[in-house]
Amino acid sequence: MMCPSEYTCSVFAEGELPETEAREVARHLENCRACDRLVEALRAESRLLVQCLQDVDLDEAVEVPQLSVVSPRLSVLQLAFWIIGSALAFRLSTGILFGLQLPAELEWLDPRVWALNLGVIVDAVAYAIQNGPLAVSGAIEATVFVAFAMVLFAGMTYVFRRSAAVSTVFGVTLVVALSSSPSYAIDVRKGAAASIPAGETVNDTVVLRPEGPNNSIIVAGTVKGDVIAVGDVVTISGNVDGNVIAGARRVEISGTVTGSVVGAAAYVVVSGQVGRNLAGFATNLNVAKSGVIAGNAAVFASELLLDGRIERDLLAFAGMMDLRGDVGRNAVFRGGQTHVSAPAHIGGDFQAHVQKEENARIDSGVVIAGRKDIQVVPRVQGPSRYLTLRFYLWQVVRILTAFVTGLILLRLFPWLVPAGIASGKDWLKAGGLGFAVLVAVPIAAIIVGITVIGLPIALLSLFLWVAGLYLAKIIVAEFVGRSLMKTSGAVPLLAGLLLVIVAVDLPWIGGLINFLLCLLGLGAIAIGLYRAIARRGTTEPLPA
Amino acid sequence: MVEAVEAQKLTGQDFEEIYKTHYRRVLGLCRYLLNSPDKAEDAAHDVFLRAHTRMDSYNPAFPLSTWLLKIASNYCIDLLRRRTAEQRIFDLDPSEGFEAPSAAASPLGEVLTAERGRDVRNALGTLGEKYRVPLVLAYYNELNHDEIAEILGVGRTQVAVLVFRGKQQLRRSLGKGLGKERSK
Repeated sequence: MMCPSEYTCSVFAEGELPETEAREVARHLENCRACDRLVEALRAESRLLVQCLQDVDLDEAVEVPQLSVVSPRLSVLQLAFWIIGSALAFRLSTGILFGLQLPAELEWLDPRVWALNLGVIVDAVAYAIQNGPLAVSGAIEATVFVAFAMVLFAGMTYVFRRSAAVSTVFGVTLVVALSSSPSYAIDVRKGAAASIPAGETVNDTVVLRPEGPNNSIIVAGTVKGDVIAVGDVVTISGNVDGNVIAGARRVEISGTVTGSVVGAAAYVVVSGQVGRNLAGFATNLNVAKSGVIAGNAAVFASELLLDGRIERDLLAFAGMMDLRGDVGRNAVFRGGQTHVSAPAHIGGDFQAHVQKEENARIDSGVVIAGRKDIQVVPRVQGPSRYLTLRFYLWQVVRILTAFVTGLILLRLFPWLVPAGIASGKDWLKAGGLGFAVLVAVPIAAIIVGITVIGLPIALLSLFLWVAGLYLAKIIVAEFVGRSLMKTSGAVPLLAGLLLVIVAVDLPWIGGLINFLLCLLGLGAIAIGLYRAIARRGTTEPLPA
Repeated sequence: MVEAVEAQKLTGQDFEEIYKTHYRRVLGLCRYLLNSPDKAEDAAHDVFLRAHTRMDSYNPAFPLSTWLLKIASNYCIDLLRRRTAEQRIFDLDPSEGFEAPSAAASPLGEVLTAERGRDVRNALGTLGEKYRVPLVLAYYNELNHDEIAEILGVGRTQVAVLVFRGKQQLRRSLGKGLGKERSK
């Protein structure tokens, strides 16, 4: 045998050569002094390396620092502090400043200006969280809507000092960016070609993105497909045989849209025909007298003026709603003030959730075919709710349902347990991720849902999203219970649930705690899911 | 004593004990792998937190130190992967032949006594993570090539090549400072 290479000798010296090869080398070494010496030297080198590397433990004095978060009890406290603190800070900052009067030119400094919008967002999300699992089918529009609101809100914080228009465009650009690799053919038109003149017909879904200073879009022709338009002013005066998703400073629909309209803008004006639903997010949203929405309308606005016709349900979250037109079925309002004046006609029930009775004004000439239900939701909830037996029975049912769900869940998906999320920083990360999931999933679902093939995927992911919202609190409860009792299992889960349910039922800040816990839990689920997938790809990190 | 309590249900106090006993070793590993004392301290801390939450999955049939070092290795390598845009840190460069030409330097031998440990450690710090990590796992953790391959997610042969080349680089790096002694 020829002398083996230095590499082979090296691997042999480490004892890592396959058996047959190792035997051959060993036989060779008996007859070759040079190789034998090399192998000996390599072995000595390995021993030396082990010694040199491990000596560091003796050579350098290392002070053992306190393991600061060794007990997760601390991190539960931190978590609780963080949640209650943010809830309080939010309430106080908006509440205390209510007594403050600012001169007109400094009004933009007033947190009320944005707190109104923020408050409505919180209400909208709270509504989705509370009614989510029960009202999936009816509230898909609302979901889309909340998602849009959240994206825009995120956009606002990103571009902080920019105008609402910039933030709006940012948010919608995000949505468009998410849809930049669609599986179906779409026509992307930029620059001057972004407008479709009267007489022109486009037989495809179009994405319109004008460039330059005059970035207005006018769709005066016919589009047989969906229209996704982002610009300064988007005007649809022609015919769209599909859906319209528009984001702009101003969105005007004066033509005919056979599908649904999703509009996000500072001003949204609908004076034309919408064949299906309207989901709108705007500072000012106006359905003009000539405007007809053949489906439902889910709208979210600071100021809402409804003069036209909504043939099915209306779901409105608004600072101020003026309803003068027709609603074919039920109308639900949540927010600041509403004024329903003649000749308004509501074919079903009218339900208003306001803070004071006088905030919902209904004029005498108004026709409401169904029930008129004005629910006063006071800022600070009175004790009455807590004095009824029904409330406590309901809470017991709620805890038991969550308990059984939690047991099944953790048995089936043990990776959901938020392992490795221990420090406050980790939970902050989970909260951020939860926010992203809360926002991104419905948007992605809507975008995927535009295509026929994507529709089942969209529905499935929306279902999972709503399920996630429900499960989020169970996950957090499991963590809280496990951390406090230092063991895992059914009893800690029950204890955690008890604490969580009590916390979300707290007057004044319970709703916000609920929201924050949902964010944390969603984030923890996302992290667990990511880790479970990642672990499958690499190696099992722990010996079984 | 610590090993004795491991088999039973662990309380917070026992974990403190484990922490105190094994901290240095875990910190040492993190320092080698991350090549940064500050990051190593944070990492060691996080490793123990992770170990604490995963105590249920510890199998008492294996030594506790092995388990902790494995968590630490995985944790640090994850960090390294996240730090570099290149995910495949440990892939072999095809431009380097499978058997790199042997450098002039011969195995570090008798000339190198244990007093030179610091030099070896410094030289190790100058190597890129591609070679540093396998060497640390082989000689600090004393893992065999199969175990290293599992942690790095690469093949066994690749580990052998990485260790071999790592040693060559280490010799070269040390050779500069040892030239005089070797010529004696």
